[in-house]
Amino acid sequence: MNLFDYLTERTDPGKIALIEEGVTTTYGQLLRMADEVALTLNSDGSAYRRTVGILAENSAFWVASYLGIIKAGAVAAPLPSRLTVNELENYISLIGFDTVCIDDRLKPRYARQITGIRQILKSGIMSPTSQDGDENDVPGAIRSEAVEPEIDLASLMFTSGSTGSPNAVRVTHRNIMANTESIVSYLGLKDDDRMMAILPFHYCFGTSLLHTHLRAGASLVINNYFQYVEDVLNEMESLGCTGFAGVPSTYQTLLNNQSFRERSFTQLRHVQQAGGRLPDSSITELRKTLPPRVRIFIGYGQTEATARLSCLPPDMLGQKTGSIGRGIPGVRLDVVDHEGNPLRQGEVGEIIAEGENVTCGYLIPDPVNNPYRDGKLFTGDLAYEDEDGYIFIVGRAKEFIKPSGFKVMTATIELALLELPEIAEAAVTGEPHDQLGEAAVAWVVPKAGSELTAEGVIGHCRTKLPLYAVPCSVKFLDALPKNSSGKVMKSDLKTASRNLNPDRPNP
Amino acid sequence: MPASNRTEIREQLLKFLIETFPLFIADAPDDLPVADHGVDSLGLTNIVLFLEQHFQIGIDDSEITRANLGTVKTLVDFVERKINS
Repeated sequence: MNLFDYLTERTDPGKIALIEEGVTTTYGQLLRMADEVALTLNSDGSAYRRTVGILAENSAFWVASYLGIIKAGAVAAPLPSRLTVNELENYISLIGFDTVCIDDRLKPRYARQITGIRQILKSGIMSPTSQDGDENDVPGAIRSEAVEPEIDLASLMFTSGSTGSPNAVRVTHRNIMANTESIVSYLGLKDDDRMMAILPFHYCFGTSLLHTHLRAGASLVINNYFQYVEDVLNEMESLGCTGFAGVPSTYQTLLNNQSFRERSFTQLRHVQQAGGRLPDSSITELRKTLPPRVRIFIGYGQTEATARLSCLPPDMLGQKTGSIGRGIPGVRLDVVDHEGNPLRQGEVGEIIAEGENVTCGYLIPDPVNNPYRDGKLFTGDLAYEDEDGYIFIVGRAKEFIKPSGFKVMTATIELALLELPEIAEAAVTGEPHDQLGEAAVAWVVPKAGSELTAEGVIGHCRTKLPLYAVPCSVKFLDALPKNSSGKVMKSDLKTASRNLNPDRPNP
Repeated sequence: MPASNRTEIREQLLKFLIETFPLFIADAPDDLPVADHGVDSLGLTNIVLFLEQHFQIGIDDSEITRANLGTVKTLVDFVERKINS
């Protein structure tokens, strides 16, 4: 089955699919526009497995392009919409696409970069005829390309990866179907749901909102201006949005907005938060601010897993605040040590994931830091499971240093450090070293009352790690610097060293 | 010094925008959305703080709309209305 057929299986042509700047697009209109994209792409019969870029902000055009590309058996490569010309050049050379669906408004900015690339323009697809159509012009008249859903790619989703240089995740038709099925079921989405979509569709969390609401035959309100919070809140109420989704900074912004606190959101049924850790205090505040009938779903995911991996059921939010929950239907999550062995409750290790939503790898393979091993996804996130199986993330780990020329994931060293019961939190960075080139530095937050010394920490690491990976120095801190999402800011550790705990010797 | 007329408001606002936003296109028309000049959530917060401090006006959260703060033109209109109210 082609993903297009799966996503549009339950759609009613007369029903509203999208609302954007007050303009509605029905499913009938949307599918007709998608057909135009598919037909244009396949005019010479060469669409199958061809990579096609999408360069537009969230819009009916974006969705029609995405669906049309997939219907034609081509591979959608949604590009971030506010790229600099240099960034776009990097993306084009990374993917090497020769066709792009582009909003005419963006053409002048990228004129030089898209010269020589075949362009499918918004003005060509969104013509009055395609929007009004003929009564007899039944959407779906063009058959979707037959694909092998487990093998054929539906999309290439960009990620900055651990090294900061862009890469893309290869996502199959099956990956998206599996993740969509799972999310629709745990959210209980129905065709009368309406999502306020402020997250960009080129970001996997945003794409998942699109996938799930199309699959449910529901609708989405597109608003690309979340900075104007008041407009977003007004639209949510006036258009009767039943759902909302955001990353931690979204909710921080809302909680700081007086107008948000004064709303009743009579239609709102659920909100989703993922994309990083929302501080516990904000979760509690959000719970107090929203009407009790609104279910709050805290989730966790990665582009490498299509989108979603875990979810905390709303009724457990109070009891398990700070947890990412458990694997969603069809996803198995485990916490393992640095050798891949399962850990006991309470022990900190790396989260690994299994499921049909785990994608098949990067466009540019990363053999040194490959998270895809033995059919499992090594997420690089450090966590522990509590006595009820709920997972709590304690840190991000997909970074490495190169002592003596060996690549070592800092997570490996951090996991070894955390095996010492006196250590509450640990982070590892690299620093220039005369003999090793680069050496590991351990930043350690000891548990209250512990007598831990630097020698003790280094001695422990010698029994757990290869010699080159043993930290050359240990620095004690009262707390690790974290950003508003609760992520450890390693770049801030040098500043933090000024606030070193004076009661401990720092070699 | 706070502005007293439209031209001064516009000049002082543009000076701030050009200094603050590296992607700001100085010669763009006044009705181009500031979002297209690279103004995101944090950027808009900066603009609100600047307006409040520089023009000595109060801005309520409920006034943070595109109709008020969407473009250079609406920003100038908004400040002018506030100063004169």
